[in-house]
Amino acid sequence: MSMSEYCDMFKAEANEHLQQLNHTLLELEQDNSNLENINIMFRAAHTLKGMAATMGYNKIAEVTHEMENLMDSIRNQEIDINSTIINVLFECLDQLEFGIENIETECDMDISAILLRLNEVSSSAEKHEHVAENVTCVSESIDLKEDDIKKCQSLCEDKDSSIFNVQVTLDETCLLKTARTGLVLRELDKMGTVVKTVPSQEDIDSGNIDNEINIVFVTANNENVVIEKISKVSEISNVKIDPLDLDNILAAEKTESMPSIPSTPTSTSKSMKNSMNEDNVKSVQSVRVSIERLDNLMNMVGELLINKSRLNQLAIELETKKLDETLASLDRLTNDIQVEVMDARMVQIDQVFNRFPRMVRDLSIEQKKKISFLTEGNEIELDRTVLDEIGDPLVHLLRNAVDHGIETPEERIAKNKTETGSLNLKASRLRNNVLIELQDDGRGIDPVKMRDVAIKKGLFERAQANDLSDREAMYLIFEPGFSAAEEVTDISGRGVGMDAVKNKIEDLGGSVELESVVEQGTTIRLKLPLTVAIIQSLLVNVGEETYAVPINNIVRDEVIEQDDIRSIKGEKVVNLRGEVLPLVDLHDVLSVPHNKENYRDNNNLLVVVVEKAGQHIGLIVDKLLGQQEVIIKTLDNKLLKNVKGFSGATILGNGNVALILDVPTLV
Amino acid sequence: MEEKTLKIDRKMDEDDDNENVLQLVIFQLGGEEFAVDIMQVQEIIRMPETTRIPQAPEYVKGVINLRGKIIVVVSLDVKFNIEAKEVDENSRVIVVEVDDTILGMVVDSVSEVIRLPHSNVENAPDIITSKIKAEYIEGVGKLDERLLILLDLKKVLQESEMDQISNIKKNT
Repeated sequence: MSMSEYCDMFKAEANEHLQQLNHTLLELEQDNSNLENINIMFRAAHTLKGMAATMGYNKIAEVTHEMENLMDSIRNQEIDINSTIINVLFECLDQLEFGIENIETECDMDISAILLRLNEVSSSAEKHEHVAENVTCVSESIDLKEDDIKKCQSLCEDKDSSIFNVQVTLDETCLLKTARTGLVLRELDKMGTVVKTVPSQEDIDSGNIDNEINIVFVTANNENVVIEKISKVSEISNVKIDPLDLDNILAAEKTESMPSIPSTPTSTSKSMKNSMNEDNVKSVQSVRVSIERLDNLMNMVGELLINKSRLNQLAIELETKKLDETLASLDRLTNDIQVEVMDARMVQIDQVFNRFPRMVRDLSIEQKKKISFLTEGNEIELDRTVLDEIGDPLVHLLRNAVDHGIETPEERIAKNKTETGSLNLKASRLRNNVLIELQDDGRGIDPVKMRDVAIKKGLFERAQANDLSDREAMYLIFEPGFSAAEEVTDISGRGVGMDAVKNKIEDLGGSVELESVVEQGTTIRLKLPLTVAIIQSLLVNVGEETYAVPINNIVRDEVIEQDDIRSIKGEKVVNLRGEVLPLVDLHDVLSVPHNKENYRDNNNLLVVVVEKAGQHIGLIVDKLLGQQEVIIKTLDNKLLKNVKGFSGATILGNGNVALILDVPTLV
Repeated sequence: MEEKTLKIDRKMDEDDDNENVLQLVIFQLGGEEFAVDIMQVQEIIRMPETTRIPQAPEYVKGVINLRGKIIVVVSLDVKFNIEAKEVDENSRVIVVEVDDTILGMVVDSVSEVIRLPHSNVENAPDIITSKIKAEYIEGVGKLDERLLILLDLKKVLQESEMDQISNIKKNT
């Protein structure tokens, strides 16, 4: 593996840890009494430090080290957590993110400022007297879960044994803590059964231990023998052994509904919780695979599907019954593979959503607004390619909502609204689409104001503007160069946002909808396809040629008569049950060389009605071949750069290539 | 796999001979003999079904399915403004890779692969009566009495400014 590959892996992993840090810090900001969050952060920072140091990224290691020190003081309750500390920690995360992003120049990163800030907060914060942990009753410092207790009970019943809590303190100078602890545990194993260790076995294996180890141990031997055996292991400074009374523990269990958490959170019980958390994390097994690999796999599955349908065709032509069974199982298998590969490409939308709480927090502080931001449906899955593309549009929308949507607290109070504005981002699954909804309870979009701005910008005359329906007026924000904001701020208002959002979403084969009530808020809905690699399409013939029309674009199909076609301003239209439908003859648009009269019955013209920017357009085709799932392959060749109207090509069952029409650019 | 063994063969040949020998794929088009460096050729296939691409430059014959990859094929005769035969059982598509792009070229027939010492290649002399633009010609190889036109594929398969201009005109 080359250095750059290590570097990519580092970046990917480091970003995950950063994300976790950000997320946990936000939670901590909401509820700073939950010290478990500090523990999670501590672990993440610790891992990051280790990774960075291994890779030689010393600046990152240094920053994380200082963060660790600060968090350590917090979790030992030497420092009280406050907003200054949280802000400094956020700054650290930004610094780290910057460092990881520009990892090549990491060594040039200036971290003196951030280190200074860290030192300031850790020294200025009021330090508590460090209360030495007084472990008088050892049984308090170990937390036995129900199954552990059961295990003890069964062990005690079998033999004439008793339960002990053994506390082993390693020498300060002990270098190989894992090895020493291992020796101690081996000694104990010889004499009886180790039920539980704090820190956990996994932590011990990974060297994640302090000098003190607590062990719950069942043995038939007496205390002195145990102490003697353990003391033989070198570099042990102290061994303490106390009998454990199961009945007491059980009684304590009953009085407290929660598994016995000692009233004063001692460091051991905390590390116990850590180990429980880590157990949970480790149960998920996964490997990192580059998207390129999945793309290749997807392509190959595509080819497999094509070959399968060819084989099916051949079997029909050859009329051999013998193949039927094999083909049926091949059918099933290929379908399963397709589903699996598609699934492997699916990523939880959380990957995009999880960076927003931080962003909204920063924006609202900057804007001096109070916003409660909630995300929902984070577990909804989307194809990786779609997911990669929706981040920026969502950022635009969120910024708009914070900037223009939600009012300042004073303004809200004056309007009889709650001081804190609410902003909800919700993802949900809608058949083959994913719906992303962004809802705010801000000032909404005022159609009257929109018309005024449109006139001011010279987009419309007064009379024209007044002709616009409220809905049309609101949709003006999707026009290029349109911005309703009176002043341009750092955040938004340059008028490049909304049309870019719309274009991007439409490029992905999705759509944008807007709903807004003045003074009540705005809802923006993005409808996105689950995947862009495979789409449902309608295959049509134009002359001898076959084209695929994405089902997403299709409204319905119609049969019309040549005589019903009218001409308005040189455009062909047909009046269908009161709706004037513009018509486009694909023969002409695609300059198909065949003589169209040979393919048509003028009394039965086939029209596929498609939607383009909310408007219906009828495409005249010669034959409908049926619906089919097609795999999109791009047509990226510089010779074709002037070709418009196709989103790609696909390979049909007979091995031929069919172009996929891109309705927005075609007509 | 095929490609790999082919590469190994080439390598061995290079080791055997001195480096001054060119290996050329010879093809016929419109009664003339052309040659391209074998290193640029990926494979030679029979004429497959092509799908026309509306609005593409005239010399782009269309796209084909090459084992699941969709590649563009060009009609060299249109590009060179010469008259090719009708497509028949001898017609071939030479699949080449130029500037990281894979393209197919439709030719009348492919006859052989030859070795030609560098010294047998001359700069395109003016006496060439070919109608083909000089910029497409890298040199002329002499093999006994035959004259082989060595093509500069980069130039041939690049959309020239003239093409672009004509395209813009067509579109407006």
